[in-house]
Amino acid sequence: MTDNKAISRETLESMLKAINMGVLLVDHDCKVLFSNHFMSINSGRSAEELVGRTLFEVFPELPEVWTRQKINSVVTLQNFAFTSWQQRPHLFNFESTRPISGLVGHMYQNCTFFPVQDADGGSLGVGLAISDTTDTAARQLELTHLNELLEEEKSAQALLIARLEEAQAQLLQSEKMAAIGQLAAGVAHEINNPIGFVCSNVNSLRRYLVDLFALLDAYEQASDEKHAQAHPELAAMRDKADYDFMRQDIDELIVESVEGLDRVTRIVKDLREFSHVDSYEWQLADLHKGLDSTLNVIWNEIKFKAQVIKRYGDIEPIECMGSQINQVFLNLLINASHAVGVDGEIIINSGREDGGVFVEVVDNGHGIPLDIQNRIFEPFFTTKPVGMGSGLGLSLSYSIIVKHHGRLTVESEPGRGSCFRAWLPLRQPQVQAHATSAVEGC
Amino acid sequence: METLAALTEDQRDALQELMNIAMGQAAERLARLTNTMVTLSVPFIHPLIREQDNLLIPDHLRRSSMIVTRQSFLGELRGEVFVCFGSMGADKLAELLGYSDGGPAQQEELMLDVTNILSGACISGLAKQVAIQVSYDAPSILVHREESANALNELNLNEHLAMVLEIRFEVQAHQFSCDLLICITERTAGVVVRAIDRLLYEL
Amino acid sequence: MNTTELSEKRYTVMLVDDEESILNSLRRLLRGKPYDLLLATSGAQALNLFELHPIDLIVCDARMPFMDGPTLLREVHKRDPHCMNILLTGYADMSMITQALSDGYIFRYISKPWKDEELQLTLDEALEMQCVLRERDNPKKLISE
Repeated sequence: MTDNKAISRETLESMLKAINMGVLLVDHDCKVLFSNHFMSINSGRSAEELVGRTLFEVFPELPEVWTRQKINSVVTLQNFAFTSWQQRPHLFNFESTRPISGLVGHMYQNCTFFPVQDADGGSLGVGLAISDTTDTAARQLELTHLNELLEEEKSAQALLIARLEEAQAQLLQSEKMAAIGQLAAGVAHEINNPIGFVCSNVNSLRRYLVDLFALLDAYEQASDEKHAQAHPELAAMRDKADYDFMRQDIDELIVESVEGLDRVTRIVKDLREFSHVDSYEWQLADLHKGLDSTLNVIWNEIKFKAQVIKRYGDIEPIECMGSQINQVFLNLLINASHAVGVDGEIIINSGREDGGVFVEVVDNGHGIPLDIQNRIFEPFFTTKPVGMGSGLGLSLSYSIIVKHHGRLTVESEPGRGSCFRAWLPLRQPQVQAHATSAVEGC
Repeated sequence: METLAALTEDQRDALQELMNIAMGQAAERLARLTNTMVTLSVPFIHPLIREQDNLLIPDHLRRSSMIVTRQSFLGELRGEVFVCFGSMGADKLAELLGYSDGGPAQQEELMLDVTNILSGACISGLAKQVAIQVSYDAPSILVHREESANALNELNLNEHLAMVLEIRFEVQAHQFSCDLLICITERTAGVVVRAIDRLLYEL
Repeated sequence: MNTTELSEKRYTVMLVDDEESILNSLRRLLRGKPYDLLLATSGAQALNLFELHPIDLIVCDARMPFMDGPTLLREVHKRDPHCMNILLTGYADMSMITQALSDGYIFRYISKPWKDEELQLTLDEALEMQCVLRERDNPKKLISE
């Protein structure tokens, strides 16, 4: 059990002097009453120079108003007060305690202000304890810095990943379109042959029938009453076969069949036209033809949803990649058909403008809310429920138009409808037009 | 270790009385310091909070808090004070406490100062009533403004049995207010309970 | 109907396609014309027939196994520049066609599926052109005919 008396005042004083942190005692007016070795060593001033002066005389770096208020609050409330290196790194302007290996110039400090009472319990003054936290601070700062660097790298990577995903999706999409195009071309070719000879045969059949009926008529003419009576089975056969009806119906039958075959021919032609498999090169194309063939190809999808009104202006062929432009038309038309409701209407306008040609797809559907209007061209952005549309269409269309040095814009009013407008220049800049890069073109 | 059972009605009233006295003294000191009218009220006493084995900061505080600071008190009375600052922050008090510019570091320091002053005042007040001594560690920031509201939800506070006192601090003239949550550990809460019982006994 | 009149000149026309149905439908189409028809289902067979008979006009499919249309017609043209060659193509390989046209060994091309009238017209024009070419190259022959 230590006896307080055994530790003399001198011992206590030398302890305070020697301790490895700053110790100060000030009175209510901030006059220094005591200062220890730490303070002298780091301030370069001896205790004699410090005692008796105010804090602000010896440490001019201290903010006077704040310090006085601090002292005042400790005295009034009789409780501790603190400062932390994080908010106030250098209360006292001391040099770094790592003169060789340190990376910072000044000492980082945590300070404590504590009330000191006299023997009667009254307030004597305020004590200050200053501890050197340079090491901790330096390490913390480094960690923070490293974290910032990591965060930057992370967001750069996230951006890169997003771009890669977009590029991959686009590549997939164009591979799909290319595959479909190939398929379409192959199917078209397979269909063409049989359609060819069926068509021709039906025509030949028609000619044969003309001759056959002429012959039958001649036979009928030649037979008279006597012959008819001698061969009643002929009349019976005639009735059974419903000869009159058949003869008349055959004409209609043939006409309808020929029409049917014409339709098939047209569909195949439209499919080939749309997929343009033969042209992954810059060519002059008539956009109206592209629009028409695209419309034909997706007619089944649109015909129950909207009425299509074509207001084609006067345009001339433009230099472009036909298959890609058709893909854009396909996307815009399908989107329009999805947007409209009852009495759906899709209007296609076209015309010349500013050294180029514009095509507008206008619908009277639900429109696009203002706050997302500038996001709709973002890849993967979609307002459709999961499974319906990849959200890739508009962004692909946008980049196709951009690659053609054109512009794709939208005007929309929620509840009234939308107008998508593509403008394309008549010709491409020289360098561009001669490059046939299969990968880039996709 | 005493298990802290729920306080009876009488005990709760006595605690309220105790707190009123403690807070009254604290408020007086604060008013002297800042030269303004100060109110300290004790709207809620939760003698026991037990939610899923963890202390929770009450809903109404969670929703409105932007920064939460903390400071420990140690000794015969042991625990932590949490101060919840709303969006008004402590800027209004800046002048009173000797701060001038409004940089973020100064704002933080200001709030830590307020935390220190308030918890010092309240705990000292309480400690005086129950006649014990406490000491404090430095205050620090628990939840930053930038962190989402969820940060408060995700706080893992120990000591699922504790006495929690909620105190509202207001400086009307400067339109400043904040809420303090005093959490006294189960072990040392007994000190308070004994003081309450003494009060009741003396009645 | 179409009976052969002695005064009318007859032409020898060869049809080449690996699909027999196409050959048959062409045959039906050309029934009333003053053509002696030869049918072949491969390039090799066509060349054999070409050796045996003088041929005025060939209608040939572009895509066939083993020997395709252009190859056959190129060879035929080498041997007899007066034989009029028509390429029947379901596969719009424009570069191949323009090449063939500029190389001069085909008179024209027809896309499949063809329109009967257009095909007949093309054959008529081809044979007219043959007349003109024969006149140009062998004026004496005209007199003797």
